[in-house]
Amino acid sequence: MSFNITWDSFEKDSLKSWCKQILHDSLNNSNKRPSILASNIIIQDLNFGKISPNFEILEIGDLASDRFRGIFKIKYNGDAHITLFTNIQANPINIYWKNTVNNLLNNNPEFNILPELGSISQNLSIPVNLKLSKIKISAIIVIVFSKSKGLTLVFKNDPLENIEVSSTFDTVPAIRNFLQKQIEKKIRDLFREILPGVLYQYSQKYVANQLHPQLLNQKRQSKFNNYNNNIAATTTATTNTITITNNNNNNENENDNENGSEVKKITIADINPDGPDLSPANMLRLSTLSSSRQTLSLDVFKIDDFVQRSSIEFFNLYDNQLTQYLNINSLNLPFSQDYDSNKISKYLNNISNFQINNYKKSNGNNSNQKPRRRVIHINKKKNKTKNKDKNKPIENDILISNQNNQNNQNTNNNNIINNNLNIHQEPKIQPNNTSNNTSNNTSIPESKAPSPLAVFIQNSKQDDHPIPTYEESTLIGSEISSAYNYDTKSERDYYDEKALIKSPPPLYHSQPSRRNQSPPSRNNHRSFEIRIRPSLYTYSSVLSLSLGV
Amino acid sequence: MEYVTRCFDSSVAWDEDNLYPSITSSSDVLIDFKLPQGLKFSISSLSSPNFANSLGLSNFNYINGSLSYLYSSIDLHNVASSKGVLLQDAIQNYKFIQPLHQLNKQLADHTASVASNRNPMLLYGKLYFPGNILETLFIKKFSSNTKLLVKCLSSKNLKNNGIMTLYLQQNALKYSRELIYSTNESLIGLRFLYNFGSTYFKDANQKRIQKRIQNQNTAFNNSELLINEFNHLNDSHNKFYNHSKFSMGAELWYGILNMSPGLSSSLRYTTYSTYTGKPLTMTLTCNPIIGHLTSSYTVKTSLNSTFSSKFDFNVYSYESNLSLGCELWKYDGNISNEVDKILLNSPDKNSQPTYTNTFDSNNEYKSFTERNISNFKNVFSNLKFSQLLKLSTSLNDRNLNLLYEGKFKDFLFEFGISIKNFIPCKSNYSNSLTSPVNNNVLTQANILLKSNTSDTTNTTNTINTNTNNSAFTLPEIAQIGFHFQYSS
Repeated sequence: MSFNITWDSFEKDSLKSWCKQILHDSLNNSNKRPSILASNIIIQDLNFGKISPNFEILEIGDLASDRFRGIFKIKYNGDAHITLFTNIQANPINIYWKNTVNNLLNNNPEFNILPELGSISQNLSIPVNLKLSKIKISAIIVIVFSKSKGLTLVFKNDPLENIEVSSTFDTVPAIRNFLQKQIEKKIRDLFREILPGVLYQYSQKYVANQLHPQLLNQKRQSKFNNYNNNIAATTTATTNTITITNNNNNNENENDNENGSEVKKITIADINPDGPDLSPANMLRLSTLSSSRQTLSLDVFKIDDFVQRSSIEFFNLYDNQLTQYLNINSLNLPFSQDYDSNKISKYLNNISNFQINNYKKSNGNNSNQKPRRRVIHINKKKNKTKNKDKNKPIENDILISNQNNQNNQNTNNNNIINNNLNIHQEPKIQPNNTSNNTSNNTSIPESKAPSPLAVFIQNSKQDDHPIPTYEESTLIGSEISSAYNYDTKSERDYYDEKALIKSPPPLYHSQPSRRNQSPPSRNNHRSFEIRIRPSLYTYSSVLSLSLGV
Repeated sequence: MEYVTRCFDSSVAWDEDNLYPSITSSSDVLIDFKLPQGLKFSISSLSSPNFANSLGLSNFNYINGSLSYLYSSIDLHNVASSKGVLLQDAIQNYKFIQPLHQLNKQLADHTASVASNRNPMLLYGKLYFPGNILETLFIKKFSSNTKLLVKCLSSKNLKNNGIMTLYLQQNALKYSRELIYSTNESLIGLRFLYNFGSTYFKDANQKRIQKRIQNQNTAFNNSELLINEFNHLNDSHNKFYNHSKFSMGAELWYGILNMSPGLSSSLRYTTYSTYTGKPLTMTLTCNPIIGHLTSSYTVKTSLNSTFSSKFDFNVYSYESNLSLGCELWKYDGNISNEVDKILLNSPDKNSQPTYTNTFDSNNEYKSFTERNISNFKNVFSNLKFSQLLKLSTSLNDRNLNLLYEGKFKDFLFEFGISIKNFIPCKSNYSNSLTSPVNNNVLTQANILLKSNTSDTTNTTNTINTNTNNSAFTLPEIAQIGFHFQYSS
């Protein structure tokens, strides 16, 4: 490998002026000009010379697409020179006055502690030219570059071998020697500390700029898609007040959603594999998350792998195995219109695992108590209730945590989940033995028949366990469903007044259509249900009556 | 608070204008006036004749407030509220520099009234928050012409947690001396001021008139003519000092810790126009250490306008600067009516000299001048002006400072703006580099370099070939501020 340096290109005027600008800006960068300078520093002349430096690769330690490590040797003994011009304040009282006013009193005009020095603090500026030439450099440089961390440059030795300083004060030997020494010292500092620092910062800027915008763009695009879909869904759902939901439409939406969220996920590790620093992209996501709570908009952006605060009440954050499957943010339960038994069983299995974990956590791992669980077997003449083993998956079963307050008084309530999983279907077939000991309302689908399921999750209040608010996670009361369900067999109200529930998004709000009705029950249960569903959007209400014989 | 301390000075017969720093104040208040910074509100009240307090709120850098208290051992009866105060008293403006004999007269009046409280004292404290910065001021008058003034500023940001400045001032009619010590870099200063001229001009004149009357009463003799002749000469000699004042001063500074010396000396000449009574002041300041010369000329052209010009020159660096400033007063209503009213009520009208000695034209001339001067001053200090506009510009800095002060309802407001590069100048990049004074080089270079990035070919021409490509500097606001104050 070899390098071909065309040193002549440095002689180009555009580069020169660019360098001049950079130098000018950096020399006059600080807001507070030192009091001794009466004017800014101006680059009067900048010449890169004709002789190019020698460049030697000593070692390349690490070479990959995103990182690089190498040791180089640079030798320069050329004729480059630079001339600076500035004005120096020669009135000591002026310096004194400016120092005090600017640095000590912070320019505050109200302090008049200083005596009036107006007539002796006039400006006397002496123009000074400073020329640096005959620069001789010999340095061994270690360069480490990593895409995530930027460029690090270290000088192994003292790079500066010689520099000649000539100024307006050359005739005064004392000042000349002083200047020579000071400038040599400063340039050594520059090579050792300032230059690596500046390069590092500059490369950081470059790396960050290169990496983050594309991530941001991706994210923005996906969000935009989601948003559009949600809008479309809402409109379709609300216009069809008698929501015989067209499966196609929903499916399309689902697909769209999936497509939208299929954009490559960004994790913190992608952006910064080593450090815990938050990148702009992550900050954007966090800000989206937080701003999603500040909006009155009824659809909230769904953010992958995030659980809204309101949902933390349901789930422990660290148990995100469930949240992987259930998109808790929008209460978008996976029971879609396409009834897929395998899928559902997978979900249910996860729910059960999750609940078991929670139970174990709340009772302590060593507790011998097995969780009491009610298991409902479908497609059997008689339903049985039995305790299941913790980890045993059950197909076509719904496991419902049956943790009453009485049983768990000494447990941490925060980890207890008490969900009422209601799956509406008409006519409802209530199993015989289900609801004897529980306060939980349970109604389950009797058959495997595919049906649009309106799934409601209701969180009943336990002790001081706060009711999670839905406002953050889903549509706020787009429809309120008040239903009265009467079962003759159990003679029990399945919905009382407390069961006024906030509905999930209208997308999933569906009255069961006639064709999807399940076959009549084999039991002789009679049930009827009256449902009044006023919609807040359309100010219309639906009254539905259903009878199960 | 500044106003209250000025009132204190005037009620203890202390003439601040007789001190060295005020020797150039006539031009300073017109050219180098202080501009307000940021937004500031303050409410002050004189709750008792001895006690005043003030609350301030400003947004300098960040929002901060201040709370200040003032105690004076003598009653401050001459403090007016912002409703009743005359604008020319509340705001620093061109000051009439009084001839010595008049000052002497005033001093005599004052000492009679002040005699009851021999050693007046003033204490003033101001607390800035946040930051807990405390500013204090202590004034104690030991005798009729000796005063100790201590200024303190306490803040943990400062070196040694604070600065203290002590002034020991001696202010006699003919001269003033000051010894100053500041703990900041141990700065020691000495200031002197000497007023030329006779203090007892008027008394001498009266004696002479009496003498002349005596002479008239006595029989005509040969010596009368001689005496008249002598008096005439005397008068013409005195006329030179009549209503003018010539002062000379010097100051010497040395910072012990930073070893920085400072030295300056000044001359001031003030006189009044004979027919209109309008004052004019000329000053010349010289700083021999850095070779700086400043001359200024200030004239009050009419009741509501004053103009000032200042010329700076440095003999070492050949830097020069011309500054111009003016103040314009606005009076709501018919000014001539008001002037007549004031003239009618003026006390001088009663004491107008009677022209008994018609043959003494010199005397008549003098009284005519004196009346003009006192009338002009009287009218100005009693007119209820409503607004004041101060403008100043400097050719070298190319800036325009504008200060607009006035009364709005019962409030005093102050609005200041400073515009940099007020005069758009066309100058060459290379020229500006060689010129010794290049305040604008920065901006010019910036503009040039900024254009470089967009158009490289153009700029290379500009920089390298030093052709006539030039850039205009653009005006920009350097400082802006608005103060609002109310006092009762």
